Parts: sequence; structure tokens; C-alpha cells
Amino acid sequence: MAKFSPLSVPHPPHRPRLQRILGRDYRLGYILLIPLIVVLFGLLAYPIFTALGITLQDKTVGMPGRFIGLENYRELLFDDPFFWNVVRNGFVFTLGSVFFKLIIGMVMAIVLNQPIRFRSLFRGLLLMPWVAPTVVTALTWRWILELTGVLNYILKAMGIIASPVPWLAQYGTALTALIMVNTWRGFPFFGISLLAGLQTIPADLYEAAEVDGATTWQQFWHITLPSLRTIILVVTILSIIWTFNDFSIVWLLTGGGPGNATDVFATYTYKLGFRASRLGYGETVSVILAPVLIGIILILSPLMLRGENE
Amino acid sequence: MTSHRAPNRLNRILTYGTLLILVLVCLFPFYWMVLTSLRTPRGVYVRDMMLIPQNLTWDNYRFIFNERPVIIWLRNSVLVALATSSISVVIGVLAGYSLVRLSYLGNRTMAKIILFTYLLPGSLLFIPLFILMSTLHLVNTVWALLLAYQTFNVPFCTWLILGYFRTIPEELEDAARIDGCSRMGVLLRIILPLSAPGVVTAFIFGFTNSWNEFLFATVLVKSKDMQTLPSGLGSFLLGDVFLWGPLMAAAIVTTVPPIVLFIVVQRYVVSGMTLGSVKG
Repeated sequence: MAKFSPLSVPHPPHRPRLQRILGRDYRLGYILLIPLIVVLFGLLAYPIFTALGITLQDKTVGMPGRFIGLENYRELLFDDPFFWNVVRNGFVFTLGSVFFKLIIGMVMAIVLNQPIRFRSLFRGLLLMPWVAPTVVTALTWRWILELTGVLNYILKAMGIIASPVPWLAQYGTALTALIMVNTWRGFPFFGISLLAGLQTIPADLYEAAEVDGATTWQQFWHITLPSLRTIILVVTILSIIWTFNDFSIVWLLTGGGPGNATDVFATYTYKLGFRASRLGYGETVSVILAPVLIGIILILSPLMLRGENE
Repeated sequence: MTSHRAPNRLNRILTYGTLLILVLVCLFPFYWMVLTSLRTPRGVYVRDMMLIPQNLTWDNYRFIFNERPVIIWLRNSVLVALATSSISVVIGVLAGYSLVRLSYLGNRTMAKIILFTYLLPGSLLFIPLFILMSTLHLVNTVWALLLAYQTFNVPFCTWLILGYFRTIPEELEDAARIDGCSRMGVLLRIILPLSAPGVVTAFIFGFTNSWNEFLFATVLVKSKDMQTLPSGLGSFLLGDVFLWGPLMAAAIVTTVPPIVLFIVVQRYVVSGMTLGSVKG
């Protein structure tokens, strides 16, 4: 419980029973929490609870559902022609994007940590992809990557490709293009977070290493990386959660296509729920995923709470 | 590697070279967006001197404001973003104070639940929320968005505000209470003014998150005159023809408010980004 500073002692020695059980400030404490609790229960807990029920029904849009037991789960795991491909895409898309975001974010942080002019201007410019609405990012990149788009124009002018490549419309390149766009949008978040971490590393660590004759690479490996460990872990896991559940970029760039080649969890859920009108079945995709996600969140939250509880 | 070392020439070339590439990669899509929005329908596809601005026109902007409901989308976006973030900040301030400064059974657990819900992604929620809003007959109204956006804004704002409230020394509060100030008086007169940067940051993030939201907006609102800018943009694309000029013009209209907001308060936003995710 909260620590009592010497000034805040004016409590009577005999506190009423409820106060003894529920704590010193229980009355005002709970009253101030009411709006929050209404939101958490009404808009999160209750819908999630009903969603669990809906996965046991054959509910469609505008129609009441009929109880069908675990049929949705059985169909998804064993009879769905696309589900396992969606799982594979989800992992490739997430791990690929997060890997590149981390690498480029690290480069950004190191460069911005150098003694450069106009640092805050550059920092602001490099943050632009993160500030722009995702929808805009997705649409602009779709236009750039079109068959008649500017990327093909540039690559052709440079002699790298002979004829325009349909980046988003063919199996071999669509998922890679999505990873690239997601990386473009997400790396500034890594960069800024890692920069904040870099600025807390004491300079004398590097001075000592230099006296001992350590190379720049050794300094990075033995001082920079270990000092950033927690930050790297936190931003990586955060980004895994966000990327794993991305909808806008995939939906607006490829719509999960060609065919179902680039469908990820969110787009597949959406297609099942609102294109095929099978809300119960679509929600089953989310629910099957939830344990993985909750696991990741449970790993992450102690790391994020650590700074809070001192 | 670090800022204390005397910069040698190679290091400097490498640094500025990398910086230049990064800036180019970051800014090119914005350049392309602006350029496309200023070109004629035919000019968009002209390959001769494709990268150089010439024969520019405002036609696309005229088109989207006259022929498409962009003004209505803009109004809906502003309305939803302002209302949602205001509500979340108020809820966050009340809950934040309660959780940080008041001692009672369950306040630690509650703080953990807030973090958990902040991390819970919207893709798990959109079907449940759609069903809830259908039951309440709120589908196709801005009310659906106002409610749905609380699911990510309230945990996020509360989490951020919580962190700021912790940084205010408890002694200040104790002194005020000895002078006869009530708990709510302390919150309004001492904690709030001192944590104003934090509250502003929470508001800005709440505003931007709602402004940019796409999934709930697509699922919960279908009719053209109730959409927000992001879902309106999405509907541009999913039509039969891609009018890239007008589309990019509408994209600019969507992008300008968050970017301007960001430039005005860059310092807050950067500190908020690192505070929201990384503590200690």
C-alpha cells in the first residue's frame, strides 16, 4: 500500500471497520474509478464475454445465432482452407516487420545521437511516417507501388528492372511489400525510444572503453546493447502486438490478396465476419488467437510496470 | 558512437550520409502525395519528367470538396476526435488520481488491468463491438465511434496520466491538505496544474489515435454522411476506379491536422512516446 509521509497522519486511532478492510481512502477512491470501470466493463469485458458465446453459434449479420457447440473451432482448425496460411502470413509479416523496424530504428537512434546540427529538426522529419495516419500511409504506398506507379518508373529508369513489376498483385512480392510499408511506418517509434535510451548511458562508460582500446563495434556490442536491453525488449514486444493485429496496411494495400495470399488475422476475421457475414465464425479466429496474445501481454506488462512500482 | 568524441571526418560523412538517406525515404511518400494531389487526372500518369512538379492545378481539391462529402467527413472526424479524447482525459485524470494517491483495496490490481487493456488490440474487439452497437441500435451513428474509441483511449490516457501524477511530490499535496484543502481541491489546484504537460500529451495522443482510427470506423459506420476521414478515404479506393489525384488530395486533408498538431507540440509528443511505452 502507499507509503505514509510523516505529514499525513491525522487519522483517528480507531478506524471504522469498512475502512480497515477496504483501505484508508476507499470511498473517494472507488467513486473516482466509477467512470473507468463503466468503460472497462461495458465496452471491454461485456463485449468480450458475449463474443466468447458467439463463437459457439452460427451467428450471421442481422440474424440471431443458433448454438452449435465447438463446430466453429473444429471447422477453423481442420476444414478451413486458408486458416493455416493466415497463421503463417501473420508470423512472417510480424517477425519480418519487427526485425527491420528494430534494425533501422537502431540506425536512426545512433545517427540522431551523434553531434549533428538541427537535431530536433531531423528528429521531427524522421518521425513523420509515424505521425501520418496509417490509412494515408497505406494509400500513398499503394499508389507508389502500382504497376503504373513511381517505384517502377524509378527502378526502370535506373535499369534495375526491365518491365514494371506488379509488386502488390503477385505472390512472390506482395507480402514483402507489406513488410516494407509496415517497416516504413513503424521504425521511427523504435528510433525515438532507443534514442531516449542511448541518452541515459553515461559517457564515461565509453571513455573507459576507449582507454582500454575497445573498437567502436566492441563498444556497441558490450556497452550500448546491454544498456538498451529492457527498452529493446519492451518496444519489440509492443510492436509485435501491434503488427500482429494490423488491419489497415494489409487491407488497403492488398486486401489480403492476391487471392488469400497476404491475409493476416485481422483481415481474415473481417472477411469472414463482414464479407461472408459469418460473425460467429470470424470471431472464432480472434478467440483462437487470444491465448497467444494474452501470453505476450503478460510477458510485457511486468517490464512496463517495473518503472512504475518503485 | 557517442556525442562526446571529437567527430572525425569519416564519422561525419557516414552520419550525415545515413541521415540523408533516412530523411529521403521518410519524406518521399509525402512529396509524392502532394505532387499527385496537384496533378490533372491525365498528368498523374504522364511518365515524362514524372518526379518534377509541372502543370500543377487545384482541381483535385475543388473536386473533393464539391463532389465528395469531404467537408462532412472532416466535421465528423473533428467532432469524434475532440469528444473522445476529452472524455478519455477526464476519466483518466479521475482514475489516475485515485490509483496513484489514494490507498484502498485493489488499486494495484486496477493499475495492472489498465495496462492489460491498453495492450489489448482492436482487432480482437471489432466483432464484439459491432454486435454490441447493433444491439444498442447505434450502428451508423457517430455515437458508435464515440463509445468504441473509449476502448483504446481510456486505458491509454489513464496509463499516461498515471505516470505523470507519480512524478509530483506527495509533500506538496500533504502541505495543501494541512492547510485545509480537500482531496478534490488538491487534484484541481495542485496536481492538475503541475501535470499539465502530461494531461496535454494524453489529450493529443487521444486526439490523434481517434483521428487516425480506421478499423472500427469501417465496421461501425457505413453510410457516407456519418463516416470519418479515414474510413471515407478507404471507400474512395474500394470503388471501381482509382482516382489517384482526388484521393491524394483527400489524404492530404487527413494528414495535415495531426502533422500540424505534432509540429506545435513536438516536445510533449516525443516525451509522451517514450513515457507511454518505456518506463525506467
